[in-house]
Amino acid sequence: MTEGQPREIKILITGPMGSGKTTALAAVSESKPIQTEARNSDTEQHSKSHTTVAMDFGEVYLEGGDRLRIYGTPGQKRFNAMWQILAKGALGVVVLLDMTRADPKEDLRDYLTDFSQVIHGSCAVIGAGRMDEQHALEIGDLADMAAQLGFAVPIFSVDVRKREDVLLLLEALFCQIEMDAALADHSEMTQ
Amino acid sequence: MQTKTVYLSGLAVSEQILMQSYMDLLVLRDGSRFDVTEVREAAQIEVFDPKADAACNSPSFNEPSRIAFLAQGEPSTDHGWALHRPARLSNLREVLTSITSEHAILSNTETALPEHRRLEYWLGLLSRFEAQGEAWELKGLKNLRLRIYFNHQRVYLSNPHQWQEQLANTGRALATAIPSDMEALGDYAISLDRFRWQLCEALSNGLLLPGIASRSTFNLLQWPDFGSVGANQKQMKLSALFHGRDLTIIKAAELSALPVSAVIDFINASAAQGLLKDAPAELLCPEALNSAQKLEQPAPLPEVAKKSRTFGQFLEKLRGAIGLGK
Repeated sequence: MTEGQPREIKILITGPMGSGKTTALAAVSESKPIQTEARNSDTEQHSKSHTTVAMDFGEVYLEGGDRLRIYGTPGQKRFNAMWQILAKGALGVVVLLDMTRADPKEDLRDYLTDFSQVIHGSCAVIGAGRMDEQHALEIGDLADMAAQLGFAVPIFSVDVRKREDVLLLLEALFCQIEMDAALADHSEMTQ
Repeated sequence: MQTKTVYLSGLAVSEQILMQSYMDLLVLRDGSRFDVTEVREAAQIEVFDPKADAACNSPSFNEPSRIAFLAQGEPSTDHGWALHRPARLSNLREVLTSITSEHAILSNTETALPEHRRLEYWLGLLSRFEAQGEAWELKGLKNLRLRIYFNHQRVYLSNPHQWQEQLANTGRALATAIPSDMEALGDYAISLDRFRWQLCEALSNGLLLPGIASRSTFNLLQWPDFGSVGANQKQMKLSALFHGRDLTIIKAAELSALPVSAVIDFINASAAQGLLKDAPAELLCPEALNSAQKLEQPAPLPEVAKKSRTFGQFLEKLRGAIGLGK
């Protein structure tokens, strides 16, 4: 990121089918989100009628030509070739989980592993949705799982239908980016 | 006939005689027997004058299983639980009987705790409640009543406005165990985690909790669940700094450009949620941060700190555009 030139950062929203990626993206995008939805043929995974098959895309424009680009991945694993393409250059990843799915810990393991490169290189946040509809898992269980895999990521219980919860996830990413930069500056100054 | 033992603490001689007379009369009138004991630890009820020093130091204040009764507390006339000065025989019997059955701690709003002990007191009270019952009601706070349901991890407040300040400015509370399925109080409810977190923020007063005051560095095991406790940008920045990293309070204040007091609030709240990593013994520094000592604010990072300045400016614009508050 260079001073004086228009700047942009890219953020990725991922997670299993039905976890609310498209909803979360639409909550913050200034432009009408570009969606690539098709009829859902995988009703075993989720009963919704349509699902994202390539990507969702939204933007927030800032003065001076700066902008935030947000990409939503398709949820089904068979589209995971697309995940790596979308992840390129992302400064942060939001992983959304649906805690009422059969095995949310396994979902978390899958997404952290698949996006490990971008998460280790930058930052991530996990949004656990529908926490109050299940009582088998606590946030701490997910944090333990992430820690076992070597990820130190924030995990929040959220409802992405509420815009403030989506903003909470984004703020967690922004604060990580900002504080990583402060630590890098400090490290440079003390060397 | 069941006998209750009573310890009279710090009462004037005339009041002791009066109390003893009332208790004797209760035996004659309806067989309720209250014996005065000379041993505080052996007493089931402790009666004391809140204006005496003994009141502040009494362990009964913090022990729901050891009952405290303020003989001269400011009476509150608009609640059924109010304890009046024991001037009437009928009132005294009801009071003594009810507190032995309800495990009550009574408040006297004039006897405020010292500022540096308030957070410790409230957190201690919460953990004792949790260990001893599923649901509690706190009364005796000005314009505020609280119901805490540990079984549902929820707190109901009769007054959602400035409850933190009210707790901060009130020394003691009356707590009564209530049925866990008792009707919720009012419409305003928050999670127990949020209650505990906001309590820490309101009552820290720039001082670390005694249990962690000897540490020189702090390390967060995991981020707080801000979806549950609520969040602002300050806490998020501090979480990003302390998560998985040993940092001093001064260094965190310097890197985040936040006041030292905000860092201390955050550390106390994280400790109360059990989110701090245990400090290795070699990092404990007993002289460094005793509970009465305030830390000085460090200078923010200089403007030459390019990377953070560039990101900072960009993110500030972005926050403004999408409606993220401070």
